[in-house]
Amino acid sequence: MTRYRVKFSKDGPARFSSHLDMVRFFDRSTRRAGLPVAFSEGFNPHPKFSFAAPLPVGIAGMDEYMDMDLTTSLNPEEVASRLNTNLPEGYKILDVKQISDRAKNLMAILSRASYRAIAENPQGYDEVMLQAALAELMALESITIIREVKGKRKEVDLRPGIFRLSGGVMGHIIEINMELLIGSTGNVRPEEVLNILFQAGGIPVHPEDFQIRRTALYTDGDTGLISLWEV
Amino acid sequence: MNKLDKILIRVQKPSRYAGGEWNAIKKDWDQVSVKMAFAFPDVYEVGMSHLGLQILYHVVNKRKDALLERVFAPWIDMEKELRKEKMLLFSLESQRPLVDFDILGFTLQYEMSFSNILNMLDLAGLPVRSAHRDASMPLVIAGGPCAFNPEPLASFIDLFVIGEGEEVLGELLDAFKKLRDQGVDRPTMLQQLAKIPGIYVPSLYTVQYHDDNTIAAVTPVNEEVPAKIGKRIVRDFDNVDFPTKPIVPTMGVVHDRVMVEVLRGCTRGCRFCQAGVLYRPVREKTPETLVRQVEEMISNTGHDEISLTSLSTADYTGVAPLVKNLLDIYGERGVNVSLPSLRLDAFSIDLAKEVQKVRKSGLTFAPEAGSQRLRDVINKNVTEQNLVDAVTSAFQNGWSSVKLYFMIGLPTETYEDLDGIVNMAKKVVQIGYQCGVPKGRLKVTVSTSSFVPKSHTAFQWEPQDTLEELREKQRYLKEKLRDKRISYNWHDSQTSFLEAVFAKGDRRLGEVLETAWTKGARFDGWSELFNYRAWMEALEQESIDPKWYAYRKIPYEEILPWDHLDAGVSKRFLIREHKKAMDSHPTVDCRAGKCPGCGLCPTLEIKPTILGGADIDTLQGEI
Ligand code: SF4
Repeated sequence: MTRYRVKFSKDGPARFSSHLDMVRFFDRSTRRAGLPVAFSEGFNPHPKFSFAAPLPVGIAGMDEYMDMDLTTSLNPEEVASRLNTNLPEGYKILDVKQISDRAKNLMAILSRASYRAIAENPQGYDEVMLQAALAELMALESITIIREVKGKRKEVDLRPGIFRLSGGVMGHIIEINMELLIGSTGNVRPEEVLNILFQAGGIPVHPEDFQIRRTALYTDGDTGLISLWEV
Repeated sequence: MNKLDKILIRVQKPSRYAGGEWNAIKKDWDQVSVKMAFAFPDVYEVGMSHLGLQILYHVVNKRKDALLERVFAPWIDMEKELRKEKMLLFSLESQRPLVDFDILGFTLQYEMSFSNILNMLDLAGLPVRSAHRDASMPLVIAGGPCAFNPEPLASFIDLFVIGEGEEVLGELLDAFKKLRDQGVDRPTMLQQLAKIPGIYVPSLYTVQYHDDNTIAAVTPVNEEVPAKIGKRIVRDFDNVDFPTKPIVPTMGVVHDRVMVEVLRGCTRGCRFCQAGVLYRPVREKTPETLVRQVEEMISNTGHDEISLTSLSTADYTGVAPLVKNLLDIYGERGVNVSLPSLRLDAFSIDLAKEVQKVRKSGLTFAPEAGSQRLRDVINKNVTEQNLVDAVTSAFQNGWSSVKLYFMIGLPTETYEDLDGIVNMAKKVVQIGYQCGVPKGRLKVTVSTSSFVPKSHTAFQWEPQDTLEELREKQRYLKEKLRDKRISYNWHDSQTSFLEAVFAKGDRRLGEVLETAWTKGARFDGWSELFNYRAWMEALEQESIDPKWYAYRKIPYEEILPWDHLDAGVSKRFLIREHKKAMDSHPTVDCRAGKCPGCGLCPTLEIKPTILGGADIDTLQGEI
């Protein structure tokens, strides 16, 4: 059995597919591509795929990862090209490499994600106002919100999970970049941050009006963040 | 950010509207002459499970000069967003508003989707009534089983396609293209299209009524229009185009698998069954064709399951070798084979055993009625012994749950027949114990639906049980089936009542439909949205008595609203079948080689295609 790490993007109509649907896509796509995917044992065998982190519906991913086990060893370029020609609209395989089958699980090592949110800049809003709004948020010690988890309301502090905020106003476009906590220790969703900025009045754009992309996924390395691809 | 993206973030299951599926066809809009949208009046998950959609998608898109894109009924959250954002209903492929298309084709699978058709027309920005649309707007057409009694939709749909669409749709597109290029107006266009066999233009017929509301006459408005419209059928079924590159849905749908149609039609002749009449005669594909089509479909889709579909797959001549062959080829590749319907016999259990080697999910059988007498009435040719054998074999082979499907309210039904259902269920439990099924695992589910009389069947003259009668019967069964091992569920009788009204309805119901829709009726087949009140208010407002449609025993002489739409089976045969039913006399199945003379083969100049089977000597006259 050989394990591969697959780096891909999900954009266009594919943004609207749920994680579960995406897993099914990969199953269909690998079958069409004739890739010898390994299956789990048991009554209900499923393909041995493991993904870094589900993308929320509506958010595009430019730097997404999955690990995949094949029963025979193939050249990574071939895996990439066979997959690429069999993926539905919106998906793209960016790179494939072989990894050790003792490599740590993607989900376990994932710790941080970058997002870019873009929207039309409202009339009269400018760079200075934006920078002030971002700085104001970063200056807060805690940001408590109520999340609903399985019907129960829970208080969470988002602030420790917001590592960096930056942005700019370029012509008609307003852009906000975020570096947020993700993975087994917790999760801050980009819409939550945009919502705080909107609620506080610092940014007069509704979170729904932003188009959001996840631009990178990282793990904590000895000397700082490293991309999941570099692990 | 565009409006649609914004909306899609807000609605549930946005994949329903996003498109971009594998094998979806997006043609260059400007290079194509005739643009058609296929409109499925239910949600994506239901529509994408429908084989007819995939077939017609392929038939039209194969043409260089035409394109077919899809649109499904938007769920209520999406409807709200579309209306709020003032966006017109659009197709999945090009995301263009439906008004940009030349033809908008609805499929009529189920009466309870009619209100969605009006709603979709409205969301498309089109007037719902044909009379208010002109040549600048899409031609609105419809086909499918309910097109055999389309009268309640006569005011809204420009023309109906009667019968199988594969061939006639091509003729329609050719004629449309020619006429449109000549720049004719809508009435001229319709008058010309009505000449194509199988095309029914309701506005070219006037319906007169007697004082007692029965129909006096259905008359064509001029001589060029045929008095009767015969159904279209595919003659060379083995060679007819079949979509071996079907669209692979982007989200979980009802049937998420490769569907290969092994045969069309059914010879069994159950007297309540409309499909059995509409899809006659039976036509089987050769095993070579099937194996080839399956191979293409599996490699083109990547699906992990093959479903052998038809009205009655276990009847396919070479079903056992076919299944075995497919399992040999695909078992290794992790692809399963499934059979949608099982016959009640040990042979079917053997088949099921083959296909469900590992995972034994439940088995479903449909005895339909609880007593031999009633099964003879409906011509369901299975005996209690068949059931006993089948479930014994199932339990012995490792199944522990069995589902039994019955219809209640069938003509001549008494409480003795209901007791028959109860006894059967209990017997199955007993057999389960005898076969050593562990107590905790043994489960028998009894499901009842309510009989809905349908056009073109031997029971088209029969009344439906009243709501009270049906509810009383459901209560009775619920009481009698109180047993830890048995669970009982039933179909909502209000839905069945309305279904009967529309299944046997005439043109006057169009007003009711429109009123109910304006009162909010949508997705009537979905229990959580079914708004019975809206319908009752609409009927009241239009002074239409639904009981007259659903509960009246109709004399043979009366002109039926669908008499001018000919499914090929003669009315005289249906009358004879009805009489035999009342005497509990079964009728043989023409598969065995003996033709009971339904009149279809001589009328349509065709013969059943049964592989290696008897060359049926079809009776030329009617008996
Ligand atoms: S005419 Fe005879 S052979 Fe043909 S479909 Fe009818 S019953 Fe069967």
